[in-house]
Amino acid sequence: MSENPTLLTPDRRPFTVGVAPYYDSPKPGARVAEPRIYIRVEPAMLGMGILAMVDTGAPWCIFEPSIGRDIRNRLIELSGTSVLDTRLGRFKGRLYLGSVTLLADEGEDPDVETTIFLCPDWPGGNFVGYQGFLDRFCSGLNPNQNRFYFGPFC
Amino acid sequence: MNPTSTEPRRRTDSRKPSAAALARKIRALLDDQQIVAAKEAAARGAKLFPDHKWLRQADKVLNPTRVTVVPARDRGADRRKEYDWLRNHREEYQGKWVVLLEDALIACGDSFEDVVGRARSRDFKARPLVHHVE
Repeated sequence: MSENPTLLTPDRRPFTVGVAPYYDSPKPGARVAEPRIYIRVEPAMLGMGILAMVDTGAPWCIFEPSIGRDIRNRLIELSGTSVLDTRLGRFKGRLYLGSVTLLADEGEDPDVETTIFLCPDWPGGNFVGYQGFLDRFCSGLNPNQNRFYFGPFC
Repeated sequence: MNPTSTEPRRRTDSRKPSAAALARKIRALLDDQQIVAAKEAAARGAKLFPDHKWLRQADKVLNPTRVTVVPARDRGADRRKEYDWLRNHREEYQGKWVVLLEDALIACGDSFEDVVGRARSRDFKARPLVHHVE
């Protein structure tokens, strides 16, 4: 399976340099009421990929508590607690600096240093946010083939 | 201040805030979910007080800058197979953590720590997917 990850702007400059599949749900086979966009990322050199929802409304990247316990020693912590207001409620946690790698099938893997919110009580799954992550590169979707194109990076 | 002075009064908000006041402000902005303002205040704090550890740290954490790009390390792995596996085995592994590489089940169990620990003891051609089956 080989695919050109490069999409070009009208003046022939690279608009994207990597491509990866995305999924409508983290529960394949289950009925999906509202399809979302889930991409594979590797938080803080976990050594494995996880599925995280692309959420332009999320202020930070957020990972579930078990993943947080594994990666937090590889992150830089901002001392003191922070809160996160979500539709699931208000959660108290901590902010960290760490890397999140977008795992490409073809092209380049961007390793993005970003702000991560970890909370031991967070029930909402994994999210990659717009500010500090998605706003660092161009991206595009091919919904016919569920392909997420991304890069170059700034 | 001389009450008869004709010199215009200095606006209090133009004075340099203390490091502690800036730190409190950043905290309050974060609590109030005013993220953009918190980031701006953190950048300002680090510039005004480069020796203040917390303000420096706040700027670093809230305003990350580094992006490194490397050739895709998992090139050639067919990721659709992992999703197909999850679709086909969802009911069987409901509630379990699984580690998958393409259509191979590497580890499964009740805890993330357990399955990741077992998977890390092996070498793989590409990074596997760890997932909680719901």
